[in-house]
Amino acid sequence: MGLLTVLKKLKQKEKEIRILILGLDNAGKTTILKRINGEDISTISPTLGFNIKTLDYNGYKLNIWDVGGQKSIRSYWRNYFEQTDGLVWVVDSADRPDRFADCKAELHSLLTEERLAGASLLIFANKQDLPGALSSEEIAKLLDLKAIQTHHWQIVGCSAVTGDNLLTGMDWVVTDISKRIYMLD
Amino acid sequence: MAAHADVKLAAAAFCADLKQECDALTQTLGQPNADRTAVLTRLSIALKSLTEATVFLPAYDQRACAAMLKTISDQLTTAAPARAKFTFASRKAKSSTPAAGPPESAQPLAEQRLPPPQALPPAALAPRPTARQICSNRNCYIAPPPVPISSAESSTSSDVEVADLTRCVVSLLDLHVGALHLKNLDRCVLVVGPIAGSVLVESCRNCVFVICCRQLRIHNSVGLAIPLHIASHPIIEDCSALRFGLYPRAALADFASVERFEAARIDPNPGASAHKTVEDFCWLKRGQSPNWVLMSSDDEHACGTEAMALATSSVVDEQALMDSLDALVARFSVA
Ligand SMILES: Nc1nc2c(ncn2[C@@H]2O[C@H](COP(=O)(O)OP(=O)(O)OP(=O)(O)O)[C@@H](O)[C@H]2O)c(=O)[nH]1
Ligand SMILES: [Mg+2]
Repeated sequence: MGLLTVLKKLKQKEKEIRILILGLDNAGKTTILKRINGEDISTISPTLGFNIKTLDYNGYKLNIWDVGGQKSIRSYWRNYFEQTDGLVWVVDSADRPDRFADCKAELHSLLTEERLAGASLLIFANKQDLPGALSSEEIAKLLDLKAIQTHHWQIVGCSAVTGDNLLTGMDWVVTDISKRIYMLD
Repeated sequence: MAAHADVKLAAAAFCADLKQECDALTQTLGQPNADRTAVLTRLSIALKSLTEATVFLPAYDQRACAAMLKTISDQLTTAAPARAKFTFASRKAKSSTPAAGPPESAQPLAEQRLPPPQALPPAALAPRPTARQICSNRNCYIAPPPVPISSAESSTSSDVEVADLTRCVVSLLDLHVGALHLKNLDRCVLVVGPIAGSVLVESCRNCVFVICCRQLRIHNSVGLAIPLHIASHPIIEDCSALRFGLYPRAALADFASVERFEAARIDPNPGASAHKTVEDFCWLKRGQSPNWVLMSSDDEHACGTEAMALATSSVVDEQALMDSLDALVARFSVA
């Protein structure tokens, strides 16, 4: 039995899933992570660096990495790509119109990354509680999601503040990943 | 079996290496004049190796290693502004002084405004019907009328974008703002009550912003004076000559009431404001960033109350208003 097989078995036994949360600054990544983890969301500062949370979810152990999205630190994103099973791209649905172009460009450039090639892609159209929020259909159009052929993807409208649909999104991404790496072995 | 032992060995070796690197980084960070950018780079490399090691690291070790790296990351984040240490006692002492003066006048503030509200009809410019836009104007006073709190909207508040203004006084005191975007403002004075979400500032110069919010993110701006109450660390990126101070609570009693703080879910206690812990994303080195300072307590008080007075002023003469605006900007926010 080769080392690789053993490693694969080990991973299988623990049923671990590694999820990377990225998106522009102010999208709500940290708020989503803390909300899912049941933590206080009222005093979150913009992320200089990263947060990591490990949680048990439907029999899987999720390692979730949340990395800061401010422009000056986006170049560090690539240090987190390795071994990513799922990419969660968070969008501020009520963002300034001119930032959606930036958002689309950053997302599509991530999708050309070889190290993210196998990852399932969940897009959270966050902040649906704000009256100015665009719907997930509108966000899908603005980000040209239809053009994505390389990844399994799904878009879910949600709110980190009310908690709406966060679990719907997580369910999709965990199911999609688990189908791929654990059942179809 | 043999392979299994290899994995264990590899895991142990990895943890030992990582521990060593973390100790070295902690030591580096403890030194005066530490090169923080180099630490950030080494931290990223360590992080990457941890990511790669997750294939064979047992879950417990993964968590332990991630926690070690997180400690370094936290030290990087917090150590920068740490040299400006302030106690709650000194904050309280400061905030209690301005409370002395009586309010400007006994008249209800809402009736003191200059008449013409300059907010452009949202439908004309806004890509979204419910977002509010105020833009492209100069030399004027702008105060959008209060939004009636309908039952449908009572629990939420809309996002507001203020863009492309020169020499304007903007009062958003009557609005319930969810998130505020300020872009391309030049020599403006803007005053706003508690905001549940973020304030994003982009390409502004020589302005006075009186702000109370959950997060403040300032980009590419120069010469701003900001009396501020905030629930998290304000951050700046590509900025210079920024000045931060205390939010003028006493002068804003009507618009920053405890109820409005509660509606925005922000702790109203002045001691809970993090306006002194500014983080400059372009200054990861040790030592005070040269791009921002705290205002003296005299300045923060004068700046906040004068901006407030201007925003709620009963002066009908446009020229007089513009003169006061120029004076305020020249005094507090010219780089
Ligand atoms: N109304 C509303 N506001 C939200 C929601 N999620 C996040 N926010 C607000 O959006 C702002 C940014 O949230 P963060 O979680 O810090 O954003 P981030 O994506 O982690 O930002 P970076 O760390 O800079 O990359 C904060 O002011 C949050 O309160 C939401 O679902 N609804
Ligand atoms: Mg964050």
